[in-house]
Amino acid sequence: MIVRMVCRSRLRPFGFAAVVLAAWLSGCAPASKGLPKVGFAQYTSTTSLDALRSGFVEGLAEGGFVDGQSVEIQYVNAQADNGTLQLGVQKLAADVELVGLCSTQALQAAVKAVRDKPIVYCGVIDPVAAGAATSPTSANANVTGVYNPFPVKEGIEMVRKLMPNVRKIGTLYDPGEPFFGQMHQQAKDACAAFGGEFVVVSVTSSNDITTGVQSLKSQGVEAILQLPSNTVNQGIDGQVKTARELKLPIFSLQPDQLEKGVVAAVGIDLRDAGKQAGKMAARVLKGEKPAAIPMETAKITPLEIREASAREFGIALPRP
Amino acid sequence: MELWISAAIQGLATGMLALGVYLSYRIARFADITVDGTFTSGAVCVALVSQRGGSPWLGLVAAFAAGALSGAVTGGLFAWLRISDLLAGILTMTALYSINLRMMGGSNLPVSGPELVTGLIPASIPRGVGVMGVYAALVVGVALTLRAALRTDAGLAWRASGENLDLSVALGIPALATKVLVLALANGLAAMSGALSAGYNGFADISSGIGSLVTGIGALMIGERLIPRRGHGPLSLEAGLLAATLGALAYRLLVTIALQAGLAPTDLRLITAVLVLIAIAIPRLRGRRAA
Repeated sequence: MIVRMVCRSRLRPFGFAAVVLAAWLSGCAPASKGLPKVGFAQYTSTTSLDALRSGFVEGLAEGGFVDGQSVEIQYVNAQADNGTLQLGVQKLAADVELVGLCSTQALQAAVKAVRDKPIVYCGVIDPVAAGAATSPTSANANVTGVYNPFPVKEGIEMVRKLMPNVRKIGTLYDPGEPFFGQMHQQAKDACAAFGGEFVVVSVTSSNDITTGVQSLKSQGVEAILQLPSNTVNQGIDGQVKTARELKLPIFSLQPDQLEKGVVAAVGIDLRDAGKQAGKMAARVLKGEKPAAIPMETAKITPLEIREASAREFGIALPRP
Repeated sequence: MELWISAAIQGLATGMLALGVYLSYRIARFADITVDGTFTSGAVCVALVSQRGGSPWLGLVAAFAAGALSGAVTGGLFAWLRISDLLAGILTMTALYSINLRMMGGSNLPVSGPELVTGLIPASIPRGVGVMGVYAALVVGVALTLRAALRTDAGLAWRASGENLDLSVALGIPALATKVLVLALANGLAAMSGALSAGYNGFADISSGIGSLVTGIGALMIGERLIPRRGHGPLSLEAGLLAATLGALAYRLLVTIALQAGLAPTDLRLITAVLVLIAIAIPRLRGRRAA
């Protein structure tokens, strides 16, 4: 009836659009089967955040909660808008029994909006700075999760192990990204400890990467230890290419970049970190209080070397 | 219900931005992208003041002052160095990115301590309702102040110098200085918008201001479409101010509807765009049929 009215009016094209839209919406709306509901919020889509999310879902499944069968997961992706993130988290707070999330921004939003339901986070570097805890051992009553301080010191050790004579190590960095200061300080301290130096060249978009690598080289840097950065990640292929041309060995704190051609990596497998958090969420769903589950740090993967790259850069591998 | 209140709060915070953009884009006729930087500056100010234990009201005032200063810089570049409006805005916005980072000492800073509503609203009223009331009062207050200001002789001069710079100069209006003033006010409001948003969301983030000009103009245009009008002339002053606020509210409500629909999260922006299109197209088509 309504459809006919709309179709008769001059609103026909829009009426049609509205009908299609309504059909789409109703088709997409998750079917409610009385399953427990879990929400998952992420700030935007990046490789890292997506890996955390799929790890989380996997962890839930391992803990006995399979999406669509024994749990209903509602996803929110704020597409890089803080206002939308806040709304999305608020919606989850009303609809679900447990709010899972990744990224610092999502945790900050949830700490404000979700007061009486459990929050399980992952992909956060410093839960204290995000306002979710007063110290690494005492989270807010409804919060638990997995945080991943980047293994900067281990990274410097990795470079020294493979290049024992190295004095100057450098990185590209976008100062607009979280925790730059913290990681930079750790790297500087780790280098100062053996009498070396740590050089930072800032880039503000992935277009600056080639120039940035050249600038590192001209400042006498002997090896790149790339600290994790979304901006630089987007241009990792170009970075490796330029580093190769300049014979400047490049190391990473993200094991997934080994296939891109970096020499070696220690780091955190984000998918595993997400899984760790997903398992915690399953425990909460089974009735444990978040306050009774201490926050965990993500596990650091052992040093992995890509031999082909090592040869390319002329690095002699230590005898096993 | 809480979700809709939250949407209204976001809409009111954006409404403050839209009022600022109304000043620069409609009154001064100046596409001022400085707001992408000053929105963040406002958020940074309120976070910094809160970190040092200051009152959120002080944070709001600091935000306005910081925004106004940046707006005056853009205006100065335009008026006295004869740099085109877009470039002047881009320059200030670019510089502000570094300044905001430097002020925060990182890319993200939580807002702690009391909120604007603390002490104003009895504890029996939920936080969301309280925040909504205070934000609504602020936005309405600013809109009424602007209405009063723009109807004074000085306000008429501001509007005239936006409409026709050469004629205003010929009439003896200090037109360039006027532009600087209007831009300062506009950016002050944009910064207040950032402060309101950060105060409610709980943190300031370096990326929060990106896209502010587009959001502001978008809200303005949605609002202008939503207001019924006769003929084709420009909207009155009152209608323009109303449009800015209503448009921002409508935009946030539509985002919420899109969220509520429970579709694939990646489709959110597409569905928002479609909903906005429907919202502005229907009154327009209806109007055409009546004519």
